[in-house]
Amino acid sequence: MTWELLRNCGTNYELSSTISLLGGLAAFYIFKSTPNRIKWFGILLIPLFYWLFGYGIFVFILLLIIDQLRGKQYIIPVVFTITSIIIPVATRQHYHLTTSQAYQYPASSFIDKPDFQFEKLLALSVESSSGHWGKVATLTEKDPQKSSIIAYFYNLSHGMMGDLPDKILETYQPGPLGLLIQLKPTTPLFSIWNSSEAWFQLGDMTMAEHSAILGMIFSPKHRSAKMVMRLAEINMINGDTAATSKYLIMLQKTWLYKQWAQERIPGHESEYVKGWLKEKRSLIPQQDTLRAAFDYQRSLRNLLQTNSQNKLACDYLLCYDLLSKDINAFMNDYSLYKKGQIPGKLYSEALVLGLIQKHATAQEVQSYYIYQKVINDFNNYSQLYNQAVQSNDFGLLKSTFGKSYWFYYSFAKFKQS
Amino acid sequence: MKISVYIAALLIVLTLSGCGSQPNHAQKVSGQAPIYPDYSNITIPVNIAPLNFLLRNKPNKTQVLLCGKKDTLTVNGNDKVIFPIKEWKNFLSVEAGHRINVRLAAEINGKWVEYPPFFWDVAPDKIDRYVTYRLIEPGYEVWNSLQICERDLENFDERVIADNNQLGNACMNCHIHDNRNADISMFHLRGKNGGTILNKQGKIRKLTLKNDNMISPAVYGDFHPSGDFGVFSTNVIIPEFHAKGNIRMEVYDTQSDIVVADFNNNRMLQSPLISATPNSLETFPVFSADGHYIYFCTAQAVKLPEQVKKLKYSICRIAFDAKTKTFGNMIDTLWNARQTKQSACHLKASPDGKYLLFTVADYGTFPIWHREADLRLLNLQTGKTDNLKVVNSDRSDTYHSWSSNSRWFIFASKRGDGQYGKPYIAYLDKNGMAHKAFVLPQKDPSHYDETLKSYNLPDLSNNKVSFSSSDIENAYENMKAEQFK
Repeated sequence: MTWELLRNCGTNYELSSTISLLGGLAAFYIFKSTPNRIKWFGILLIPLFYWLFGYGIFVFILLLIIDQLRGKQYIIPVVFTITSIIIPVATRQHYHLTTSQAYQYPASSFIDKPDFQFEKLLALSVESSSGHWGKVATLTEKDPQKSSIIAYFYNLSHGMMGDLPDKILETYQPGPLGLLIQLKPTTPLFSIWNSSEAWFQLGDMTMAEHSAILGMIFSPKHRSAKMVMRLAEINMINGDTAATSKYLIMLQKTWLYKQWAQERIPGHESEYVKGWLKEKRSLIPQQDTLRAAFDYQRSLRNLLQTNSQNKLACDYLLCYDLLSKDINAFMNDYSLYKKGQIPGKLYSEALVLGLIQKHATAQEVQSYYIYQKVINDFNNYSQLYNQAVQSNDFGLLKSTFGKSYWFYYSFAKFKQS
Repeated sequence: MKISVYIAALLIVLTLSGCGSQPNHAQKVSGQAPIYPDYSNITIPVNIAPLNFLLRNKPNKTQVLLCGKKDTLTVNGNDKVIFPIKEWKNFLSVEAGHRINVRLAAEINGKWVEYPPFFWDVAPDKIDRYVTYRLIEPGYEVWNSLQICERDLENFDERVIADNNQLGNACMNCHIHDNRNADISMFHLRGKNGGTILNKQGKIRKLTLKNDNMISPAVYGDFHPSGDFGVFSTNVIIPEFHAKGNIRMEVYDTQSDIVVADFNNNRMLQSPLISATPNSLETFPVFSADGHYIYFCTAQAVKLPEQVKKLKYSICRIAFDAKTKTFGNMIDTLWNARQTKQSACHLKASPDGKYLLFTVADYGTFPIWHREADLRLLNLQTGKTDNLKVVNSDRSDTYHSWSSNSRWFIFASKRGDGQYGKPYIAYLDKNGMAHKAFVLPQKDPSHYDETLKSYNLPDLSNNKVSFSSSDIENAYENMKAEQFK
């Protein structure tokens, strides 16, 4: 019971694996109730049990061995065990399984246990899907672990609340990978699942759809209600009624998502859905361009060309430039999309760096409305930095300027995904 | 004698009354029946599996009456109409060459309604019995679960002939037959133990179709009718994403050439006219039905991705002599992209040598995500191109193959949901007139509603392939790939 309970905590747990276990127990019960003189016929049932219960036959065999050994019977357990070992290998081609899969089908793992860190990630996923960005921010701020996925949720939640530039350097950042998740063969399933969220909120439906389809592809049994819902939403925003209907028809057949789907049937959307659609459609690109999957800057710039008021896209682009330490790109993008506004702390610090690098004139510096305090701070930073390099003691520099962009620019090393 | 006359008369009466009988008091309605898939007014092969369908308005009961010239068949259902396979086969065999009127009545909210009838023309020309296709989720660049399956078109049997679950999740390209003969077939298996899997009468070979002069391993290909050669493109393929959400993906070549593989001598044959041509791109090669020509698509190289919309491929051909293993010294243009302002891809020559079926799109080489992608039929004798208006849809129609008798072709269409490719079948009558296409029937008519897989490159054959998924697993794991020079 404990074993099965623990297995229930696995992310790939399937109900059919519990049924297999119960099937194995039932098979043993039948065997135990069978008169001794016909027990041998049980061997003929092993293929049937495997067909019905998969790995459950090993539960049956284990109990049979214990039972028979207690009765000092040795031949039946040996013969039955050998048969049970042969059957999965002999039949695996029929089910297109590998050898190891054949011995544990339909379970995907024999041992599991609760993973509270993963539970927290699931909570982040659910809260972000529900738009509870404050909760997501709180959950990520309290998290001690330094990981790309936590940084991703942290950044997205603050992006959605509009204070990303103010908050981004207050926590661990794995370079630009904390803003948008790179989809590669090594990307963990959970990251793939959630990678569409940022693109969806930004308004890039192609990338959101790409991520959502991959989320579906890599889900257990290649099915995920969450991804089907997301695909329906994306196609609603794109105005692709035919594709929307495909996903809604699937959801209408479910108990949990039927109502959700009903409210989104093209032409019969609820008032709330209509308002949501209008808002989302204002963000999607109006002009087409081609970009590589990892050319995030180009994607974000394209969103801003459609809607320069897309604050999330603007903050993501500028923060992406900065986390990539691409000061030239930042200066160009800032000039295009942000110049004329009074910059916050992060952008001011980066602007100072950029303006020094390009040997800007005093007049040019003035045009960015940078507070004098920031310029004074940079002078202090430079002084402390030189002292730290000479003494090889960076303690004071870190305690004074550890949350500044200058410190990030000088010391951050990119983590590969 | 007298008794048999009575029986015959009784049968005639029953038949006639059967054609006339629908549920009592059924109210006739004018709108078309909301059936899915759309099987209204189509031409079907005499050996096709039952055209099971459902009604979108979810009636409690339905009654379908098939009235042929010689026989009738009545089937009752709920919101799904499932024909019993044995009766279906008998009925179709009796009605070969005839028109079947389909009368459909449904009980909705306790009231019976009768929809306007539609028809099925039963063509006596058979379609090849088997089709292979690759089942894949329509992801853009990444795959997980892939299967190559073989479906029996006369029933609903489907068997998996390769499953990448057993192949270290390696990518598999689509499976093609030689001249609709499953005794010779091939597909590319990628991954660390990959190679081109060549099947000849069940004997599997694993080939590395790449030499130092090629820019990549072999990609798009086709068999010579002899089965001794294969013609392939070798491409540098770049996938990129469109910004506009409903256009999705573009895949283009920055370099491409054409090579011929000599399977008996493990050599790659090349011509300077279609290989190592830096200013032009050549791809999608196929052999003509007699094997004397290679048809291929070619375009002038342009600056990519900036000028991708100017990337338009024409259809050309070059002679090939299988005996001397030599190429011709001139290239003929059969379909000129400059004149049509469209781009051709996915060429398939009909077995009778009369036609070339191909796909056109506004530009590029990746019609799957091009909504405007349509099939075209080039008459190789007259040079005229039929736009196959009755066959095409407002979504991508491509990845086609011919049946042995050149009367049927099957293709993947994204019509309906726009996302998932489904195999559609169309008839080309003896006058070269195409008929409305219909989707491959499934046992459960809601199958296409519920599947999240695309059917890639349906390829017809008149017999079953002689290998199984275990042979492919064995080739992947234990076979050393043969090198080509």
